[in-house]
Amino acid sequence: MGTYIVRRLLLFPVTLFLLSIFFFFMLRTIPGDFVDYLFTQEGGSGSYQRITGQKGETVQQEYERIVRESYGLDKPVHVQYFRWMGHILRGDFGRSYSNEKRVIDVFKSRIPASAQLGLMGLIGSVIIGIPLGIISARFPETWLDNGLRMLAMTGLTVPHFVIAALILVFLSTTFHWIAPDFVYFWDNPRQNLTNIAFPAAVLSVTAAAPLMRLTRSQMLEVLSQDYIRTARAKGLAERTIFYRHALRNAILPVVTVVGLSLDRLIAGSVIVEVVFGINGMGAALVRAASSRDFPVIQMFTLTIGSVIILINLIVDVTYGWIDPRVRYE
Amino acid sequence: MAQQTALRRPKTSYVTGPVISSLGFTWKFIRLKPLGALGGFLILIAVVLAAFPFLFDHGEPMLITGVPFTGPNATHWFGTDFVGRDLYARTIWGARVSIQVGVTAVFLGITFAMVVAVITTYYGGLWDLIVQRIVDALLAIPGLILALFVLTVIGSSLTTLIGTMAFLFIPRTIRTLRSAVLSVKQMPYVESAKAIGASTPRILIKYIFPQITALYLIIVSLIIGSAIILETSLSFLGLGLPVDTPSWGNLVNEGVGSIFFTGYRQVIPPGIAIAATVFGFNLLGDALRDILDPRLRGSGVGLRGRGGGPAAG
Repeated sequence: MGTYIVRRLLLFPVTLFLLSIFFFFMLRTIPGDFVDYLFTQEGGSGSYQRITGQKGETVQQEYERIVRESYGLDKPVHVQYFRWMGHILRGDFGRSYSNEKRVIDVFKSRIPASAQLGLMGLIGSVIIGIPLGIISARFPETWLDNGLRMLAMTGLTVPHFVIAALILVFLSTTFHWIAPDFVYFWDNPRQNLTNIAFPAAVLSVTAAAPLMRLTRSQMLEVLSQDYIRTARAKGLAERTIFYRHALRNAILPVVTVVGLSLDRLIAGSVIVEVVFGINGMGAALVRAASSRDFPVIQMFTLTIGSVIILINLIVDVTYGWIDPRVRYE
Repeated sequence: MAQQTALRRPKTSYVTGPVISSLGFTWKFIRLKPLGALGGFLILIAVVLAAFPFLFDHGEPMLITGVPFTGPNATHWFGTDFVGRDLYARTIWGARVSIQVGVTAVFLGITFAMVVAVITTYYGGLWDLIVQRIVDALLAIPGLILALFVLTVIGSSLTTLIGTMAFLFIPRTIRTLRSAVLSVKQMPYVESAKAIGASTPRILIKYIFPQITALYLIIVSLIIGSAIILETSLSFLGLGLPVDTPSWGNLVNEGVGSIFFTGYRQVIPPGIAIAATVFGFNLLGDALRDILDPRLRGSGVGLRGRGGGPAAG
């Protein structure tokens, strides 16, 4: 177990390194960098395109070259990469291209809303999904079970953005709701919840569906095991069998899915943030992507990647803690 | 039940080929798996809409045929959008984009993943290690975010959309198929094929591929659902086909944009269309899984669904 954790922890930087390389090179090999974006934004102006300067390049080309040099975008990709990595290892994430703010500051201003949204979504999905799955398995093949299963199927098939859009339509036409600015919960709980609660509800409802289905199928599978029959034969109360003997064994794979559903949660929160106008990482990412703001994109994707890898590690370790039979090879 | 066992008895690899295509199987399928058949029916509707949208619409999806923001009436069943285009026609034509992109991307992506998984896993060693580490890295980023970058940077067209989405399904599918190939690789009959001197390509094609075709079909049918969700999500974010193209994601996006004028009217029809299509593919996928490879039931293949799964959204 100890060696397993150590090995996984050693693998962590390797994966992160591959991830950073992948993103860095992908961003730079796909045509169109920030300078291109800047000039298409300014309209590319045809008038001074024809005037040629000293090096036989048009004014625009010269201008582009100078801007590109000032951002270091003219260097070969691997040089850029090692320079960027060097800065990161010294704790410097660079500055955003589009507004010259330090990326770390952008990050700090965006993370609270997203973290709260994600956390509330995760907790909400567990609170909704697992109990409903248990209820469904407690009364299998009844109208209650069928209704709950239909509900889960709906949750799986209706995309985040449709549910979010419907709730937004409802809120804004009926209550004239407009997303307020993000404030910390302890500063102004009411404003904070008006901001985050609805998007978090959308996230938890959609993330609850697979959890519910898995809890149900796991419960039913465990209930068909021999030791459950033994417990019944001993004359134990159905309640005891269900909650003591079955539930504990059934809940294990559900834990892993909570970890696996994290990327789903993050992807969902990007959409939900855009729909509800929340000032979080997702919305910032969409904006950074459209303006090719490389430093912001790189930092944010690295963060998301490391969070997902870490959570998966934690899930794997928890697995062994909940079920001592699990042996790590 | 008797029929069910009869249907299951043949080895999985034999079931996939000839039996699926026969009419008898179709009938058996409908009787044994009514839900799967319902799924197939929903898919059929979506496919017919995608192939022949002009049979069902009345009024061009791209033309301004009415006053903007007209409510539902006899000529415009779902009303009109913010420039006066018929929403009913646009919803019908929206099927085309989703089906086209979803199906093509999944087939391309999963087929590529299968080839890579079979070859690298069979050879094992360094290539396997490299591919698996790359898969690790790619799995750490939600597909939607990956797609977001690629599409904003290279620009969205039918080709780039399909290409990007196909790429997104590769890592997780490689992971899933790898374990299948690993178990097939160790089977005695592969060993014996080696012993009688079969060449490696022959072993791969004749001995390994047939064993995972069932899994391949199951993955394809289960993933198309999440592919459609991903495609509509990307359209919704403005990263799908150009905004005037009738696609379900674009329609919802416009609906949110003109929220106070169209309200629910522009969000619900495309929303239901997406849900029904995805529902169809999920049901069919579940049914196929139960019939072709019951051992996979509850293994989570396909469950990781929407976005997270191979995709994101």
